[in-house]
Amino acid sequence: MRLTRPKPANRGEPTIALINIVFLMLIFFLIAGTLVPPQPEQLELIATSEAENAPPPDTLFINSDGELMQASGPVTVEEFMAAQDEGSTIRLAADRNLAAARLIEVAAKLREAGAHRVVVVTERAR
Amino acid sequence: MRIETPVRRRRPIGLTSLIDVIFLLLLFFMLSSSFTRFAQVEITAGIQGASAASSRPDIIIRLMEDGWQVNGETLPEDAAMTRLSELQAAGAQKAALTLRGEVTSQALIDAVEAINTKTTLQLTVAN
Repeated sequence: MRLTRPKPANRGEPTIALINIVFLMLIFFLIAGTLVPPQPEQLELIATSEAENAPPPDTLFINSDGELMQASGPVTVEEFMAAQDEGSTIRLAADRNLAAARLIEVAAKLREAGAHRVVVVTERAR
Repeated sequence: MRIETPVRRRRPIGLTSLIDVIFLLLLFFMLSSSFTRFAQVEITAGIQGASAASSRPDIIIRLMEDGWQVNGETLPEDAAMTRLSELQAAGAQKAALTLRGEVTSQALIDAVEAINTKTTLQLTVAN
């Protein structure tokens, strides 16, 4: 005798399971990642292993040719310091192939122009 | 006359629009977050001669492409660090770092970091 099986009802995709996974991923990225302000392209930050932790670089960048840049475009030390508060800490991000003499020159100029401290932001190697 | 309004059937909440929004949020956070960790190193830079009169450094370190020179003595990096610790134990407090030849920022910051973590010398960097 031949029995016809009842066809299972078409239930659609399990949306709840999908949402669960996507929620988990969302929470993971929210907690584990940090939002980084835009950086100039082709800037390889200096790598260090033991220095103290710091937030991402946000203000002043120097590329390997020694040109100073802000997120909005090229700047000079004078223009940059005019927009900063007197006695503030300047966070500088330099390319690792920049000549060290230029880095020191820029840091000295920033100090002369009124910066209290100059720190170099580096990438922490794992 | 009383008109009975038909009882509406409750629909389940629309999950499609909810998941749309969550997908958008997920995409935003995936694309804009980064897992790079950052650190910072302070450099105290002075122009040569500007601060020499007020504070004379006890140690002069010269950073070269292929080694260090501590008070005129050419040493490899490890030996230079032990020499610096000895000098500090002998009473040195201030150190000045200068450059010789083509040194990259990476080498400079490596040196500054090593000196700052292994000794407590007050370090000034000059050109």
